[in-house]
Amino acid sequence: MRIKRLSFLIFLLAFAMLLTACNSNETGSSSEGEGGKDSNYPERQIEVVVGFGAGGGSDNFARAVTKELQDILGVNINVVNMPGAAGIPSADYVARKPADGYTIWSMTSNHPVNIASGAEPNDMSVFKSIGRVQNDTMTLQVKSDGKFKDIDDLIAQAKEKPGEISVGGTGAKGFDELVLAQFEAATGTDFNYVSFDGSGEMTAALLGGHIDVIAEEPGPSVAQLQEGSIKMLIAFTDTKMEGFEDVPISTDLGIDVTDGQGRGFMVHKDTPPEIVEALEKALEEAKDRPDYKEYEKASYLHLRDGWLGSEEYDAELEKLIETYKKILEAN
Amino acid sequence: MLLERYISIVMIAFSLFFLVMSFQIENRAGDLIAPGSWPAGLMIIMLVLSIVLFIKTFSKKGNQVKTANEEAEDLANEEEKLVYPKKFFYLLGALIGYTLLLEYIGFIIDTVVFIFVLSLIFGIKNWTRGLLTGLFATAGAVVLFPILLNTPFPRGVGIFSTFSLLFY
Amino acid sequence: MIDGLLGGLGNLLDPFNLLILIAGILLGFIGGGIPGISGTMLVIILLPVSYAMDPTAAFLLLTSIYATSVFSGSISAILFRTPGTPEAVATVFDGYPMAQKGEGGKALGVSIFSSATGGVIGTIVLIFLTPLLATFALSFAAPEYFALALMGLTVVASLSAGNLVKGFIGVAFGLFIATIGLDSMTGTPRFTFGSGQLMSGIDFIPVLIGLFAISEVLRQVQKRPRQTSKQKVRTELPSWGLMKRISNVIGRSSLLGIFIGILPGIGATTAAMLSYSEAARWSKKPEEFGTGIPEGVAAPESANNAAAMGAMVPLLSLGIPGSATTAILLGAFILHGIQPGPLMFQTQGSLVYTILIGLLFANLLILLIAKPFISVFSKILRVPYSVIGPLIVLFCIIGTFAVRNSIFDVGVMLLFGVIGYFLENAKFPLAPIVLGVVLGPIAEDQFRRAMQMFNNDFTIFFTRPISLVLLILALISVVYPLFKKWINHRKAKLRGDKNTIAS
Repeated sequence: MRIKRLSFLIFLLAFAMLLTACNSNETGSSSEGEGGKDSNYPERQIEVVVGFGAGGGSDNFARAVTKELQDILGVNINVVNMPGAAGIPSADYVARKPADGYTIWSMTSNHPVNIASGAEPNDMSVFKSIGRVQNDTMTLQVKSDGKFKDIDDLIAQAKEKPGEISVGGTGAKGFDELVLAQFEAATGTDFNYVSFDGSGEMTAALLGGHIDVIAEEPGPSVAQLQEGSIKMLIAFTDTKMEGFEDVPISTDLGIDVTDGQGRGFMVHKDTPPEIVEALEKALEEAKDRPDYKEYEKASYLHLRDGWLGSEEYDAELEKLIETYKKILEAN
Repeated sequence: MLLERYISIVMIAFSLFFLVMSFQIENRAGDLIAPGSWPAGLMIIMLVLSIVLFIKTFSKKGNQVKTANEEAEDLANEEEKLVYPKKFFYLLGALIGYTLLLEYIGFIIDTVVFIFVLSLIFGIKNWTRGLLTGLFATAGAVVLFPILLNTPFPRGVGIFSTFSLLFY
Repeated sequence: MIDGLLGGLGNLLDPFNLLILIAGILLGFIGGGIPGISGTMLVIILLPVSYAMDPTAAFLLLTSIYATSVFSGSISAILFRTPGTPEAVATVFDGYPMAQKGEGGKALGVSIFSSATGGVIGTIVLIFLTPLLATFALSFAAPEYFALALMGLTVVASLSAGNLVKGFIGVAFGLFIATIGLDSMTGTPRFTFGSGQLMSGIDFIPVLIGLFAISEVLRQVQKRPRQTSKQKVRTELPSWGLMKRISNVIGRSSLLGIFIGILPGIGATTAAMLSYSEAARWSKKPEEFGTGIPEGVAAPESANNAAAMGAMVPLLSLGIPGSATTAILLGAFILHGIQPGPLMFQTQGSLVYTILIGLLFANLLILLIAKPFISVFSKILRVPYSVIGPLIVLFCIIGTFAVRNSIFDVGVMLLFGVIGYFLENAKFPLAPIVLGVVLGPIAEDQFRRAMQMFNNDFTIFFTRPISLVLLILALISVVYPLFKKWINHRKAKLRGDKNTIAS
């Protein structure tokens, strides 16, 4: 008995030690060099709230940035997942926390979409952005041995049989559907949008031949893109993609759709400006760190530079909301 | 049987209410299968079955057989009898109170008091033992969850928040 | 392939790697055993640590945690009616009644044996059939998913043999609970009453813990306090006879589990639920399910471990994650500069085979390590209820809170605790409600997705062969119990008539 109890204690101890090992960050000299005069921000650990489940693109992003921020700001930063409803409950949680910069919301382009569709009560009067770090590239992808040769072929077939070609995207009334709607408007086509819960399920449906096209970023399906079973027909961007130079880009084809899934951070609107400034500076530094760059490259998120500072991103978001409102009304 | 009848009445009311609510869900996309159709279908099934159940409670035949069975069961295990029916409400009250206070006074204080109260409800004889259970359980939970696993436990507001921040 | 496997074994026997594997297994055990800590959570937390290691050690650590946490969630499910991890959801149905009959040790033994067997079968399939299965899984689309979910739901008919009406009310109620929140197909809020928290819907963990654990505590508190439980929980591996009895169930559930694990988007939790249903369907005495029989523990436990391995199939062969945990593993692979996908077996053969052999070991070690572990865990049962009762409640609260870090969910749990208490008093079977909540989103979303994909053509469910077969099976399982009842009724009547004639 004694031995068993002892061994149990040892297990527990080992468990505890392993866990502390991963949380202990170098709490050396805090190296914040922000402009604030008497502000000691941050003094304690910060919470970063992610509105999506663990393991998804947005979660990976938040964790990769947080790792760097932790080092730059010199305090522990927790990543908290509050999945569900396109991030709306997580926004609600952050909005109800004190505006002291210790609760940061990791947001995506779903936020302006939610505001435009009226689903998100916490609009631009509630949050202030710290900055946008990523601007992913949306593409249309099809099976390489499928019925579509190239983008012109797809558009021609779509015009022939309006509403019959099915396009998969993640989420309902979300970002993917809005990009597709912009593409439809620009080309005078009509597709049958099918919403999926996750990109894994959607890619499997494309490979199985159950849907015709998917609206997706290059990252999640990169295995198939490299192997050659899936190809990209068009990328919604104004610059050629590194590594995928032969994929036509929308601006070259005269289609003015360049929206990408943006990922950034926001805090409560009433947060003192010097704290926002400190965070903005830390974020700008974090995104240029080698480890983070490596993560971006591995996930194919480096295809275009996404950085927008606090003020610029706020302005960009206002603009996006207006655009999305117009599209949603037209539908 | 009486309980079964009350439950079937509650269920009829529940399914009627949500059936009406399902029809009020707007169908913006204009799909053939509207967002409200599936729940509406479910509520119709539940409504019909609850009415069947309600009617069944009046059929006396099954009634007597069941109560006889229950009595036999009760006799078989005398000590399993529910001897403290009031404790149901004490425990439920404590649980509701704990959940409501959690956000305002934070995990630590709330839990120590709650576990202490709970052990009294569960009939602990020694008060200090109950208090110790509360302290140790809270300490263990705090070390494991917010400190090691970074779970964001509620800290409370104002002075409670300052207190919680001493620990996590 | 044999070379690859031998190479993998060689890598695994490297002392450091072996140490990491064992550390992973122990972490998975403890974490899974404590409600509120899931395998997914542990993998995330250890992710940063794994960056510092070389890929082999890193993935041995992460995958062994993943494999063992799926098992140890059953411990508290059996002893306290609170699942330690979501995957143990269906283990509650028969595990706890077994413990109440004084067969807690036997239930734990069955759980250990079934988990290990399911995991080993899963790994072997993973090693030999990955590419083949991945291709087959691709032939499943929305209509098939829907038919699969429907088949799982209709088993209620045989699960609540004595009480069809109550069973179906429960399923309808559970399915309805699952519709609350933002509709995932159109983004329309349903039954949210303007509440931000209801928008993300009602998770099944608060519902389950409320219905089963809280309702039980609410009942226990009214009983005369027992000093110390007389029964001593001794974990016993199943006897030869019992093994033979449950071997069919384990075999079937493992295969079903693997297959469901492979399908992207549905994971080990659903697999456990569906295989419990299937075990009841194929059983000669479905009415005994839920009363505490070893088959009811063996089915979900072998299926969830097998499904956890099955979820690795699309990850390794297609680069598509089949569940939350494999999604994190995918991220970890990418950060180590490895792209899982069709080319992985060629480019990273050595690593893949080491991981596979590691998984095989992890599942086998469950048999060895589990016993001393559980004897420590079950000592808790000898603590007086006045101490353990409050602790169970605390675990329920933390276990619920930690899923989504939401106090609202704790409130939901309380509500379902009260609902469960009264429903159980009125002899409502609770399992159908959970069945509805778990399978609801799959059934509804896939049905509507099928409609979207095939332009509202209802015949699609009957013209696709796999979906047709599944639907016919579903129909049979609804009609058969009714038919049997009718036959029995007739027989009894005939006998009655004869008797009257004879007298």
